[in-house]
Amino acid sequence: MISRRKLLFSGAAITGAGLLSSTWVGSALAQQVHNAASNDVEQLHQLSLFLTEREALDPSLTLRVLARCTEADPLFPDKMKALWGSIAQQGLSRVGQLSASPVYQTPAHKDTVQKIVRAWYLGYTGTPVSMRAVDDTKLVTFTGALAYTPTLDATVIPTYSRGHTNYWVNPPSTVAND
Amino acid sequence: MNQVFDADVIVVGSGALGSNAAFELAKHGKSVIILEAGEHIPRWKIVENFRNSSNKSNYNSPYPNEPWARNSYDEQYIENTGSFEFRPGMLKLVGGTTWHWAAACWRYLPNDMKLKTLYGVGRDWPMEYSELEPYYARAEVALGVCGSDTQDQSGHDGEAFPPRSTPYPMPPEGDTYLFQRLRARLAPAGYVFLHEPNGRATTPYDGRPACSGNNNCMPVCPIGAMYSGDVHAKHAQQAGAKLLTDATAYKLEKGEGGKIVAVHYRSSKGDDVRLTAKYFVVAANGLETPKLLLISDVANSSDQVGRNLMDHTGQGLQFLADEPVWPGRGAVQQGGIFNRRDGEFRKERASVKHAFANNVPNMAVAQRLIEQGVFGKELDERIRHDAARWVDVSTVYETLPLATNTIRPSTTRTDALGIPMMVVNYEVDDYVKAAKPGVDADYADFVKIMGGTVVEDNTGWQNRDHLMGTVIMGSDAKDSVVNHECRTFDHPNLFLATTGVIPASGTINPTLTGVALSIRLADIIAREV
Ligand SMILES: Cc1cc2nc3c(=O)[nH]c(=O)nc-3n(C[C@H](O)[C@H](O)[C@H](O)COP(=O)(O)OP(=O)(O)OC[C@H]3O[C@@H](n4cnc5c(N)ncnc54)[C@H](O)[C@@H]3O)c2cc1C
Ligand code: SF4
Repeated sequence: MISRRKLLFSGAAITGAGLLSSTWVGSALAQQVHNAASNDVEQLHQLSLFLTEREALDPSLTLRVLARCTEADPLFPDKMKALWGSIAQQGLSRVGQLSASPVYQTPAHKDTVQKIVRAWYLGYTGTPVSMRAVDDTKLVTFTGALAYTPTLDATVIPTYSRGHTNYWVNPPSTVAND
Repeated sequence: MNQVFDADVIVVGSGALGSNAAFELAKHGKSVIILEAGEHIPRWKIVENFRNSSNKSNYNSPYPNEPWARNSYDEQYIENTGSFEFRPGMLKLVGGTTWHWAAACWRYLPNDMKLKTLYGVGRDWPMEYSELEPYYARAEVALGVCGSDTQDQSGHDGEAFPPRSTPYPMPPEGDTYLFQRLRARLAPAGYVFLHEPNGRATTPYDGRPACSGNNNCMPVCPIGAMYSGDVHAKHAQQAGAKLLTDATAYKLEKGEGGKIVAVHYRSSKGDDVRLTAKYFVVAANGLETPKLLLISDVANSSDQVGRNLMDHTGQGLQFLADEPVWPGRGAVQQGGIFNRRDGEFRKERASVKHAFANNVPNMAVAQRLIEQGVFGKELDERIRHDAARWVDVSTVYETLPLATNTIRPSTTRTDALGIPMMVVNYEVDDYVKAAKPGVDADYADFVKIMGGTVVEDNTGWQNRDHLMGTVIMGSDAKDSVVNHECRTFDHPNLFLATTGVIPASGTINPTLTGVALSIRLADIIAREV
């Protein structure tokens, strides 16, 4: 029997155009993977809701965060679960308490927090290297990157203009309260 | 006996400069072949590549990097031997690097072209501004430039300058709120703000729609409102020029009477082809052009090919203002501060320009906050707060031609076609360094006046991707590669259409000047062929 981790993170599932296509999550393979690894996925989803302090996150992106992070570090699922365990153990109820807590002082946990939050907000994993063709970054999402949501009414996600020539001479209507 | 040629003129490189030269020649009824190392890639594909890229701040990432046509961020492309890592973002595809430029379209000032005479440093151009002016006008029409007809672009707050024979083809875009706020607070302290003339359509122009503020000029304008070289690659073909892609020129062949008789190219499919023509134009950019001349052993009796490499060495500042200025609305840059563009001080130190970037800053903002351990709702609030206040200053320095700043063919690395890669040696000199204290003082002043919190004010020297000096223009064959016509001194039928001919860098982006020179050399060739 193939272990669920092997299945989820086998080359077939995570490399090539498959993962990049938006239909991937709907495919039969994805469904199988989803079911097989539901425990990891579910834990990461809950942890992500806690770390981003959101009521909902796109579950298909949770899958992608998990796949990308595990691709870079096969031990990621274990580290993620250890982090979640520590957060529970410390009784942290809000992420606002995290950076001052002992959990975050543990380098391994801090690193895992950074990886997950970066993946959700920046929409990629890995470390960009400037002026080089190759680095270890992998796309999670572009338009779904959470860093864009706080300003969606004021600025565009690059390439997706909602305006017309010279709309920019005025500030966003919220400027007095920004 | 009449010799049969493959073409009247062969142009190497389909970037903005080569394509404009080819278009002008084809319009004159000349038969033209363009050799382009890269392929034709439609805009929509590049936009998709960008959206799927995991490193969006890498402006080369949506573009091809083929083993037979490497772009400049490839690990093997440039080997640096100097203390500065010289690595401009040059591309290889039909249309060239202006696919991801920012379309700043400045003219040089008359004084920029007389640097040696007026200030005793660097070199003079072998021509006057007035000789180039009509070609600037034509280049502005070609690139569809919008700009202000009333500003003193020398930065001295005087009458409209430099002199123009024609108005800008299009009116400038409206000032962004960011620009308005910075000007409102910094101008009273004496900082002279100028609109940056730029190749973005503000009304539909030459098949291009008006800019709608997609804020993605670098690395690709999704709608083609911003000019890119593919426009003229297409125009040239429509006028009859033949474009060969996947065709990397690797040798210019010398014949009798100092003439170039043929160019040899290779393709990824194993073709190795020799083409003949009456005239040759090398337009392969400021690095690839000297490389091709050096590996062909042509045009170098002066020993200046590949020397005098100049970029506008840069520096940057980021801070958070004390009020929301909302960058990210409109195009990625709009103008800047020009007080130090020209003056007696150039006897001692470089002239300087400060520009304000207008990119949507969310990624940089979020990354910084996450690193600081800000999470959850607070992170979202801080992203909005900081993104609204983000100010990004990009400074460029004038540089002087130094014979020791070089680009050479590599002796150890080749591409998949067996053609040498390059070695660059680049040092930032004292002329630039002498201007840094003034820049640092400006930075401190900007931050103070804007009630700012510094994010980064010590970036070190940066690339600005402007390639000049490497096939330097002059009046003397002993110390220069081309004359004022861009004709090589050594070969009467070999012209170089590249910003690499520019002998005095000033502080302004060089491409409009390069296109003006390309149109001019096409006129000259058309009269002779
Ligand atoms: C990020 C960025 C922003 C910029 N912003 C500005 C700006 O705002 N304003 C400005 O003035 N300039 C700007 N520049 C500089 C500008 O892009 C260049 O000056 C311009 O592209 C030069 O045009 P070119 O035609 O000489 O060279 P390129 O555009 O580089 O075109 C050269 C072409 O030649 C081809 N080629 C190379 N070698 C060979 C060979 N051996 N055989 C066949 N084909 C070959 C290449 O594939 C390429 O298509 C910017 C550059 C970058 C990277
Ligand atoms: S702002 Fe947008 S539409 Fe305008 S030139 Fe830039 S990318 Fe194109």
